[in-house]
Amino acid sequence: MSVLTEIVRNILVIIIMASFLELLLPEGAIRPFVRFAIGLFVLIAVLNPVLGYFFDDSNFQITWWDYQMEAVEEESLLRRGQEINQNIMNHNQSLLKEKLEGQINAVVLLVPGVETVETEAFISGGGIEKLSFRISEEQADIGEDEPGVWLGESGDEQLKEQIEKKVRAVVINMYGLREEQIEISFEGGK
Amino acid sequence: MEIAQIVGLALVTTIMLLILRQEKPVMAIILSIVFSIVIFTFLMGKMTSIIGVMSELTRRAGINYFFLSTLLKILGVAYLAEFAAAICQDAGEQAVAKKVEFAAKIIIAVLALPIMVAILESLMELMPV
Repeated sequence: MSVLTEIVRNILVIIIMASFLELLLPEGAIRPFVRFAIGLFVLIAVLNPVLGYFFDDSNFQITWWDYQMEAVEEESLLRRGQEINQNIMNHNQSLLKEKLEGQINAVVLLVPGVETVETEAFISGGGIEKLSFRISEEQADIGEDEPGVWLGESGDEQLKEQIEKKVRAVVINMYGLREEQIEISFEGGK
Repeated sequence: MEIAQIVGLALVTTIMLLILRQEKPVMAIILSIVFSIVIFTFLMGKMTSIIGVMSELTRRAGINYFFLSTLLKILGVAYLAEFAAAICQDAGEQAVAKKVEFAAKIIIAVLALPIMVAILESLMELMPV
């Protein structure tokens, strides 16, 4: 059945092309020659699949004229292309993650009371899925006149709360994330 | 409206050729050649789109591009030879025109020869000796 399909398809395309080219042919003494060449192509289109089917073991000269890339070869090429594409995407994603983490670290360090921060970004489909922070707060006393941080009676806990609030606000405003996408933990627990 | 431009150009060229043939026949031939070249370059873009469609057709059908490229080469040879032969005939050089046509026939035969040989060899292999 596949042979028949191939024959019909080849003949159809070659004949359509041949008749179209014949329309374009110049009027003159050369016309019969060109028609002869076109006829040869039609002959090949008919002969090649038939010979290939009936005499599988023979090495016919005309098969070269109709050489087609093996389907398997084509598939492996496509697969390799997809692998290369995936590698490039992964590489880009890890670069993006690295840069983003560095950038967020720098921003969070500007929040008063934060001494060090470790950020981990979870990226999927080119967007931020989740951000996880590990913050250690400054041990030194922070004066009451320090803007943005208020120390109450149970100073440590409240400082952490203040820092968390500020970090959340900054990150949400900067990256347009939702509350639940941000996870904050402090060195020494909370 | 490319056809209007071509018709206009053809009419002007024809009138100029009629005048020039009386006065300066050499200039008339040059004008005829220039007109052929102008028409050829004018239609080059259209030909590109035709060839593009045909290439796409053969690619989709999974047919070797060699078929189309050889057919197009043959067509190109035929057209160029016809152009040249027509110009030679216009100049009154029938003999040169015939030589151009002869050369074109030989070149077309040379392009088609490997295909013919391949078909013949395959058929000979099929036939028991």
